[in-house]
Amino acid sequence: MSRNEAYIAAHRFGLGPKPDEIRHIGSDPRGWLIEQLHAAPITPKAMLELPASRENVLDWWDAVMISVAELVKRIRNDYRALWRREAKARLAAAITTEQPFRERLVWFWGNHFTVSGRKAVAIGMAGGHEREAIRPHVTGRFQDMLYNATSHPGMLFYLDNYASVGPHSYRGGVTYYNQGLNENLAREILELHTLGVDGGYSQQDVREFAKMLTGWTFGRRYNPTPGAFHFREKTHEPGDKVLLGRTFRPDGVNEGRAALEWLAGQDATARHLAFKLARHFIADQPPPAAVDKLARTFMETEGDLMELAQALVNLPEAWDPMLRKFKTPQEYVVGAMRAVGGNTDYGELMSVLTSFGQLPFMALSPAGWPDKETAWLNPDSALRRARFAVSVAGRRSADDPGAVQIAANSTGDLLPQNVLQQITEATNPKEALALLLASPTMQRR
Amino acid sequence: MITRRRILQGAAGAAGAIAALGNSPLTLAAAATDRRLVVVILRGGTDGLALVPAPGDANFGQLRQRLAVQDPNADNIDLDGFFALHPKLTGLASLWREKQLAVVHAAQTGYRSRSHFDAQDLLETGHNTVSALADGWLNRALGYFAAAETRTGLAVGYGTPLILQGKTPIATWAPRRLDRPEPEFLNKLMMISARDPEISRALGEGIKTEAVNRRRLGHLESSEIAGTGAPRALADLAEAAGRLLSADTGARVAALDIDGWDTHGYQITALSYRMPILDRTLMALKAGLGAAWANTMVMVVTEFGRTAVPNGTNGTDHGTGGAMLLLGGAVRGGRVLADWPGLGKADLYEGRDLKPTMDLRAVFKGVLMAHLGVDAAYVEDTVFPASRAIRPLENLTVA
Repeated sequence: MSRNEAYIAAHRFGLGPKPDEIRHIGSDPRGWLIEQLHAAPITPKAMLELPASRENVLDWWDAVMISVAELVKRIRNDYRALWRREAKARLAAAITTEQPFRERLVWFWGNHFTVSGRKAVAIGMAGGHEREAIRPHVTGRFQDMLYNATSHPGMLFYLDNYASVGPHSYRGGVTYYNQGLNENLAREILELHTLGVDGGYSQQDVREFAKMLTGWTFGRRYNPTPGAFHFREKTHEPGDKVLLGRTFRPDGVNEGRAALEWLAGQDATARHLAFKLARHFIADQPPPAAVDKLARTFMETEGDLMELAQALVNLPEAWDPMLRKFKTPQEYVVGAMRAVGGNTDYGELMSVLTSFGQLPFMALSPAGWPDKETAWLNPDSALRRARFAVSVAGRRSADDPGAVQIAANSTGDLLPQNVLQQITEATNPKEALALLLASPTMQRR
Repeated sequence: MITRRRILQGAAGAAGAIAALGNSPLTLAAAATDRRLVVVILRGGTDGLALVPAPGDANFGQLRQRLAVQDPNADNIDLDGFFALHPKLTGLASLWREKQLAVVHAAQTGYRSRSHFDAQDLLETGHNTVSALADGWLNRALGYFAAAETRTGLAVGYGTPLILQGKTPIATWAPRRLDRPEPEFLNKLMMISARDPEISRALGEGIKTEAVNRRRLGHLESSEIAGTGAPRALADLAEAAGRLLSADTGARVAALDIDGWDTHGYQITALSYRMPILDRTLMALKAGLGAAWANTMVMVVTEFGRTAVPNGTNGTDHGTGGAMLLLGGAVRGGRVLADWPGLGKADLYEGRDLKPTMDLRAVFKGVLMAHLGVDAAYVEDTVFPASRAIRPLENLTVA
């Protein structure tokens, strides 16, 4: 039983086992997961060379000062190239990491706070947003992650807040600039990042919250924090704001901070986050008791994400031997590459993920990638996974470990006996490996 | 319809399943109808007053301010002296002249809040309450043709949109990029997947349709579709969809997504890039359909309109009423269908949005009945179970 649980831990909470991972997990899969939460986070080697988002933000500003045409040119060339580097580094980190649970939490929270390169102005910042605002906080407090994710230039660009101006602010009074309120970020924080769409807020609350966030922008070269978060008093809407019946007195940048802190502590937020977490790790329709437990943990620990992740690991519902979740394309592809070990051609993997419809940092909307089987499993994608498996198996050499050995390392007793038999009896080693990689066991977690 | 049992029998009989593929059961089967229906979903909330502006409304210029003129070098394209098209929609303008384009304006589902995701849920489930139904109305409509031997529905692109998700099996298609496995391998894979009914069913369908698609699509089948919305890629996708629908047998109803309409900032620039993509995509769909265009109706819909007044960043925020397009040889075109609410301050919904005066479901119902010939009771009871009061719009199709 506990041997099976090692495989479950590696697939459900991790990114699929690497060749030596099951041995490493040993007899205490929960301990293996919890240890990752307490261990010092390791910055993936692939990410060490990446530039800070600050540089892209300033380059953006320089370009826009020249002309819109110059900006468009840089987006198409330089920023796109930067996005590719970020995306490949993220894949490399996932395929090589020794802390796959921690990496999954980065993916989960990164998706919760999506910044997507589908919006051209954010394409050079999406990777930096996750590295700088999400990754360091996955075992910290939710309110810190919320503040960092919101105030990072990547999010301020992606959801337009950088240009939002209070109508009664100093700058708002200057009609020449033609500027005013933009409610995009405020709405998505309430709907997606905190309370959830049924969180009880109204259109009026969205506008009031948007007013609190006026002035939240990035520092220009002449500001004290060039390319990073900067509060611009001149565009901040003056006066009291009322959010969900609670009055926030005029207090500059602290209004938005206070509102975020308050939102982070709401029951609706706890329930929203608990549901998403349980749906992600347990089942498309998560057991209500599991959601309740996570929501309670969130409230009792004031949003301690380490405690929340630990509570998740300790849920009996999270260890159902049935693999219910259908891996997303990124999870599937990364899992396959971890299973076979060895070198990966990341450029090629990007092409594969293009055809699977899930390139890193390219979610279609601020809601992030869908987290349900119906969104990913269809006749076309099923066949596509088979093709991928054939392609991966096709380039293995005779010296590489065979399918039976890889199956022992990656799926163990989770793989039904008849499947193992088919693999054993396959016509040739490549077919054997392709069958394993395309088997339902490898596609679920 | 190929059943799970048949797939398994085929697999158990070694080469059986593959032999069936070679014979392509699809080509032997009767199609449900000779009409084609394509639903193009513009995700993000398209500004209806940018897509189909109303320069004839006395309040238009003042209300829209700097969004009134959408292209410094070209005017909005006049339709009927009151309404116009975005300047970049030149292909659609020619369809208008041929009376193959109709506009439904000031329209929206029953949704009255401003969340993308809930609005899309209602647009696609056809219900009044978010998450009340887990399947899409188009999928339920296809259930009417369930007796047909082929899959009548087709999802084009990577993933199946909610509008097509549900009990009725549908076909899916997206361009190929990887090696094509040997039939023998697929046969074995079907066998080892048997214990997972969902994967097994999807894989069986994928194998079955691939051979057919390959013949119909030629070079388009392997065309490079970038995941980042490259303009030509969408047109290729649409042309491929058109070709798949044009065949004598096979899919009749397709859905296709175009995203990128959430224009909170610098809308003029954003739309001057997005509108040509829409125009080219629809024209490519027409080209792919060929002669079948005469029997086609394309519905272009979005989850909500946007604020009528520009916001503070030269864009528009989430709104309510919007515009919908109907195009195709089967459309009674050259008309704007609208109970126009007006653009005066007092006319706007909550003082900010174009007021919806038409429920999109009236159009959906009308199209299903008149164009696809779905029985009225089926439409009311099964496809749109929560909206009997909304009467189907009549006279949408050419006689």
